[in-house]
Amino acid sequence: MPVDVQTVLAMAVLPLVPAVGLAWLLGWLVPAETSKRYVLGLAVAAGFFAGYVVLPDPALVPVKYWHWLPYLAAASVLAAMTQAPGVSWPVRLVASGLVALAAAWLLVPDWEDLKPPRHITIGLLAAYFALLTAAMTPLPNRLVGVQFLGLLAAAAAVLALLIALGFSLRFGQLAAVAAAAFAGVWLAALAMSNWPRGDERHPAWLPTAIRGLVPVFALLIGGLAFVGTIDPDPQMPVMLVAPLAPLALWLFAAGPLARLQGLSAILAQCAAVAIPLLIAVGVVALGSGH
Amino acid sequence: MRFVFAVACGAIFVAIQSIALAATPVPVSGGAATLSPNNTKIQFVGTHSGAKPDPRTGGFAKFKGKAEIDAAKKTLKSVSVEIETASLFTEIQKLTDHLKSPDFFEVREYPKATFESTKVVAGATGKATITGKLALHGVTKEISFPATIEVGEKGLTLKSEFSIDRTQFGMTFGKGKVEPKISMTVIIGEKTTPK
Repeated sequence: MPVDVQTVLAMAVLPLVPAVGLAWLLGWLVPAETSKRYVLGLAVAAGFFAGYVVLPDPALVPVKYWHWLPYLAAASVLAAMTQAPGVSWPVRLVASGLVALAAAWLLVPDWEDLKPPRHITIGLLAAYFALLTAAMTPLPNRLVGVQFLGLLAAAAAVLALLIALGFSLRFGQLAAVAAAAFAGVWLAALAMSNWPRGDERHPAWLPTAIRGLVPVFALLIGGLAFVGTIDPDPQMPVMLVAPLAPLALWLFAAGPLARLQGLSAILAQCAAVAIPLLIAVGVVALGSGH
Repeated sequence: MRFVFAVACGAIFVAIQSIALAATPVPVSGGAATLSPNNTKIQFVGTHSGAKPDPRTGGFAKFKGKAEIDAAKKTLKSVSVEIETASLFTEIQKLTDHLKSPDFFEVREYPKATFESTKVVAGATGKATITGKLALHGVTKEISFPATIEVGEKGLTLKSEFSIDRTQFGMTFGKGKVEPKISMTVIIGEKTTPK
């Protein structure tokens, strides 16, 4: 099937370039340590928006439920505020819950035949967003290196594949745009992390910035998985597995696997995240994703 | 002998063709015929762009409608149909799912498609041009199409073949891969048989 230039631009180049550029530039320019936590989230939101507007028929004023995705991505950058030092965990919990609830309220469509009914779906989706955010936020501190970002990008890319294979190329492209934006910040972080530790440009702030990116991943990739779940008839809940896959990294945060070092740690972590993703792809490819 | 055989074969062929094309009149009651998949067929054919068009035929299994008749003039006065887009079917399940998706009909967002005639202009015997508003995929546009109509003692039959441009109804996905022109066939008097 031929792919036109506009689609390639939207899916790969446009989200990736601003994401790489902004992550690198802001990481370098933004001086205050407390502001760094917004850098990667902002880069992803900008990259996604750049790709979204180039996709065929973009809607800048939301008309359909999924048109809120680029705005949710931008708004979720602010959720990194809850990661500021000194914020107590109850405040953090309430703030994250409110953000998740507001995002779910915007993203759940008002279809008459929606199952479960809208108010229940809002609750379930908010819980899904909150679970993703809460369970993923501590991971960057416990895992060495920037491969966590690469695995977030991989989970997003697999979600794009699942959606395209499962029911809609158009929504698959939308998820591919998000995956490209995450790949962009991963590449920027890889480049920055190569600066020597003694160098003033060395990004010691990177784990903070990655933690700040988690709400963006939860709302954008979790939101896309929700869209991919409810829009097909019958629904395809297997899509919700893709954003959850990076949680397999908890195996390496504590216990015997936490002792793994170097290449073996990287390979094992990739394999742990890949297993649920491959199962999801298998389920959708075999046509039993409904 | 050979001539008789040829004539007989010809007669059988014509008879089979007549049976195949014949529509069963839909009874008219109170000046109107009630349309449903039991007596009406709404079919579409889409084609791929390029050297291998691979035409794909589909239809709708759930819809309801009404055709009003001028009993004195034995002509069609108006016709309206409301289609449940999620009832779309084709011979290939994957294709059915894809056509229902946001790439094409977007059936979750637009569960209904409607047509309501605004004008029926009678032409030569049995012919008419129907004009009306087609609401599809969230876009309402006026369309006109020719139809062959017969109003008899037993009821109404109608057959119409025309085309619409899907891109005018916001179905713009697949540019260069799927042709914008969709051929439509509507037959009142023939049952819908979902594949």
